[in-house]
Order: sequence, then structure tokens, then C-alpha cells
Amino acid sequence: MDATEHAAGGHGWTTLRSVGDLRPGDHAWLASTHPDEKRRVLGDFVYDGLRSAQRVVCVTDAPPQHLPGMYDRHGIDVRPFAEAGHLEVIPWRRACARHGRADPDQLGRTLEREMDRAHEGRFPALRITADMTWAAALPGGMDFMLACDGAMECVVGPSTQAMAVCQVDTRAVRSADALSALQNHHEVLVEVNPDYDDGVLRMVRTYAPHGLRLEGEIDSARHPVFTKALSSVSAPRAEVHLELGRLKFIDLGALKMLGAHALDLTRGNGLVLDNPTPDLENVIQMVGFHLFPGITRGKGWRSV
Amino acid sequence: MTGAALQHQALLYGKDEEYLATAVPYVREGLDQDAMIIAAIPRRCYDAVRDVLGDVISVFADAEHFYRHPVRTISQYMDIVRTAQGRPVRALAEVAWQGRAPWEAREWGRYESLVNTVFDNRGVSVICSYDRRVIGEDIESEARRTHPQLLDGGMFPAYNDSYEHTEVYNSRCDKTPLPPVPADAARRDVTSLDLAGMRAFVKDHCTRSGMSPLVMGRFITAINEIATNALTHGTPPVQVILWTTHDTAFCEVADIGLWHPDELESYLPPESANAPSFGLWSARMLVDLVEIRAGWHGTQVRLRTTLTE
Repeated sequence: MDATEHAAGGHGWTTLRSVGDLRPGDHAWLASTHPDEKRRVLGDFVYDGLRSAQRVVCVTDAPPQHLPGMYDRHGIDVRPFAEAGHLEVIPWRRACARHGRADPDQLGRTLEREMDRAHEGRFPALRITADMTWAAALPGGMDFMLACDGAMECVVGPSTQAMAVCQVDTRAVRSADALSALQNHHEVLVEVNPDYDDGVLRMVRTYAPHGLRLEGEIDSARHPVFTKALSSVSAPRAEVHLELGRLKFIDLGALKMLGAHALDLTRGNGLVLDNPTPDLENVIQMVGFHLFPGITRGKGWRSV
Repeated sequence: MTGAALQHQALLYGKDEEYLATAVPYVREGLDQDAMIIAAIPRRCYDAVRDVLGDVISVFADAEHFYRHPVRTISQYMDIVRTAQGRPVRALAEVAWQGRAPWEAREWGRYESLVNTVFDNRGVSVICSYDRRVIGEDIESEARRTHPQLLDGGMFPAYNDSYEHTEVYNSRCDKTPLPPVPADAARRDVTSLDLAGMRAFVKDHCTRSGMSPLVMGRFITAINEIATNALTHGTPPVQVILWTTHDTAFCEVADIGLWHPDELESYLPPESANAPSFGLWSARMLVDLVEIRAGWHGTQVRLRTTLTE
């Protein structure tokens, strides 16, 4: 269960991949809605690169020691990697300034140069991150971002050694249209690594809405990991959503746990179930929804 | 919840006049006490009562549709009683007995007996009528066992010394041996709580039998629950056995241990999903019948469901 294909917003087919499943040639997009999401995706992406002796280039205005998810998630200080030329943090003004102006084509040239350096340094692969949040907040920034994206696609798309993650904080983007325009520019969308995946059950943290996406099957062999995942998303937040569209089976024990969880861990604030399959909805309906106080029906229920 | 003790009377009648002679004063008395009047009786009886008393029945359910599945019916009754919110409840009930298979008649007998436990101390009073033109001797004698009080053809109580307490009656229901498993049934050993393989096995069998998807979802959920119980409380080897007749699928989960679930409890609607009986009760809700036989030769739980709704 690595790649999940789905139609995004009716604009052709996009592929959703966990950050750990990105492949060379992927030029992936992340519109992060929560700092933790950004830390998990970018942190894991960079960390995996450093760990496997790949060269990592981060186009961002953040200083190396503040790269998201490096110290706060993986507990490593990246400065030695930067000093050894293993990691390169390039501020935007250096990455794309030409004659005193920001030039997207210059970004392409910078990335090509980094690719050559990776080759010379005998690195097996190159990973690129680009944090575009700053441009999203500027007037006219959207065109600049689209142009930058095009330049990156030219470098990364045909490559068998490079992969890239373009990222923007959605809170900085002014319009939803602009966001979807950017997203449609990418064939690959990236999301956090699953909290759990054993081939039968897969649990992925979601940020908009806050909660978990459950895929596959839950039975009593998986109750402990399920409780753990539920607890981990429930900590300080009010409402927890469970996306059930791909949950093919859930046993009565786990439903019972959901009922208990809805009351205990969320302190009665609510556990929202979204998009249950017809089978699951029928089982819950048959048993009686009133037996699960604290659980709310969210999106995609057929009955009222 | 506490309320007045249950009044549970059987009315044996042979003519509609006899029915009315009991039902009408019974409902009138209830109205005097500001009781909520509910009726789950054949439409014929409902119309007769309404012709005399007018629209005084708050909830009417047609017996033809209401008495399909005993465990679900108890749950539905409970939902109705809850809506009374503390008011006394008077109920007229008449199970549709026509055309019941022997196992169904047995389960409806069990249901009548369970009423004594489920609705005790909830301010409920109920008259279960039995139309002698429809029922046979056997059902009549079961009615005597399941109802503490008996009215025979009118207002006056008849002598009844056959009444059995619910626990006694219930365990008697479970004494009949199960029919043998057919020799060509599909079998699979279940060894770990990771039941993904077992579910695939069941799904494959059911799909080939032409089971409808919703029925299959319920069947698999119930089997999974029973198999989990067998693995948790039983003694290995645990085996899942499947077979199908022309319109019904059976699944037996067997182990060699002796685990007695709280039998009676598992028929009663739990207050919430946290109740210990929730799992087994839900399994009973999801399929047509769950039968448990536990003895020195091990424990067998047999589930039965029709292939389509």
C-alpha cells in the first residue's frame, strides 16, 4: 500500500504518496495546514536523504539549524552536514536573484548546478525542498511561484536521481483558487508517513480536518496500535475526525473502543466519523447509533 | 431506570369479541392512569380497538412487520418505552405466528420469556394475545410457560402453574441439539487474533453463495466477533465452518473449551457500547440467529443468515 491514486478536484489524476514513498523524478506538492504536518513531511524527507548519503538542497530563508523537523522531530543538528557539503541551505535571494531581480529561470540554473555538484561529489541522489510560503504572501507572488515550479519540473521531472518537495503554508495563501492552481501543477501530492502500516491496516494522520485516515481492516489483533494512534491524535484538540472511506472492516471491539474513546479522550468534545462504507454504516445503524454517545456523524452518511 | 413491576399477561382468545372484551377495558384503564398506549398487533386487531376507543394508541406497529427478528424487536420495544420518559406504558402485543419455522417459533417463545426480564421495573404492562385460530397446542403451552398471568377468553384470570422463570426457560431453549454440520462444509482453523485471513475465507464463500453485500458485511462482522471470543475465552483449536442451503448461510465457530457467555444478558439491549454484553448482543442483532451450545465436547456457536434481505 504505497501509492494511492485519486482524482483531485476534478483536474485529471494526481498521485498521493507518503513522503517515504517518493521516487526519483517526483516533483511533489505539499500545502501544509499545520506546522506539525510541515515538520513531519519536510523533516522526514531531509532526514531520509541525509541518512542515506544523498545530497540535500533546501531552498528556504530559514537558517540550517531551523530547518523544519530536523531538531524538533529527529533530534539532529544539521550544521555539521552543511559544513561537510552534504546539505546545502540556499536562501531565495541567492537561489534566484539575477540583476537584482527575482528570476525563476535563475532557480532552474541554480538547481542544475546543484545537480552537477551532487554528481561530482559522487552522491547517489539529490533531494530538493523549496519553501514558497514567502512568495505566496506577496502580491503577484502566485505567478512567480508557478514559474519557479516550472523551472523545478524541468530539472527534476526527467531526472532519475533527483526528487523535490515544493511546500507552502496554506495560511499564507490568499485565495483557494491560487492554491488549487499550484496543486494542479503537480502530479504528485505528498503527505506524512503513515503512523502505522502493516499491510492490513494503515493509519495516516490528517490535518485538514484534524484526525486520522483509516485504511484496510481493524480487528482485535490491531486494537493496541489503533488505541495508540487514536490517543496520539486526541491530545490537546477539540474534535477528532476519522476518515473511513477506505476502511473495509472494523470489528465490534474497535467500535466499542471508539465509543469509549469519544467520551474519554476527547473529553466529550467529539469524535467525528466521515465517509463510512455502506457496510459499516449498515452495521452501526443495525446496532444503534445511540449506543455510541460522543460519536458524531460527519460527511458522507447515506442515512439521517 | 426504576418503575412499577412488569405486568405480563397472555390472553388466549378464539373470537375477536373475546379480544375486545379484554383489550378495550385494559386500554381504558391505562388512559385513566395517563399511560402511554402502544400496540404491536395485527392491523385487524388495531382497527377493532380503534373503532371502539378512537385514536388513543400513541404508537402502533403492524405485527406483520414488527415481529421479524426477536432480538431486534426487543431493542425496538425498548426504544419505544424510552420515549415514554417515565410515564407508565401499556402495550398490546401479538406476535405474528403464522408460517413460522420450528426454530423461529422457539426463538419467539424465548422472546416472550425475555420480556419478563427486560421490561421488569420499568412501569410496563403488556397483554400478549394469542389467536387460537392461528396457533397450535404447542405454542399455547409455551405461552403458559412464558407468561406469569393468563387470561383465557375474557377478562378473568385463568389458573396458570406452568410459568417458568426466564433463566430456566432460556436454558431449556438451548438444550435442543444443533443439526449436524454437513460433511461438505468448508472448514478453516483459526489460530491468531489477526483474523484477516479468516475474513477473506468467509467473504469468498459468501460471495460464491450469492450473498448480498450488506448481509455479508453484517455476517462477517458477527463471525469475527464470535471467533475473537473463541480465541480469547475458548481453548484451541478453533475452527470456522461454513455451509449454505438454497437461501440461508450458516457459520459455526467451534472450539474444545467450555466458555459460557452471560447467556441472558446477551439478548438484552445494552445501555451503551461499553456494556460487557455489547459484542455478543450486537452479533445477535446482525444475523438472523446465534445459537450457543457449550458442553464437555466443547463450545459451538452457530450463526445463521438469509442470503439476501
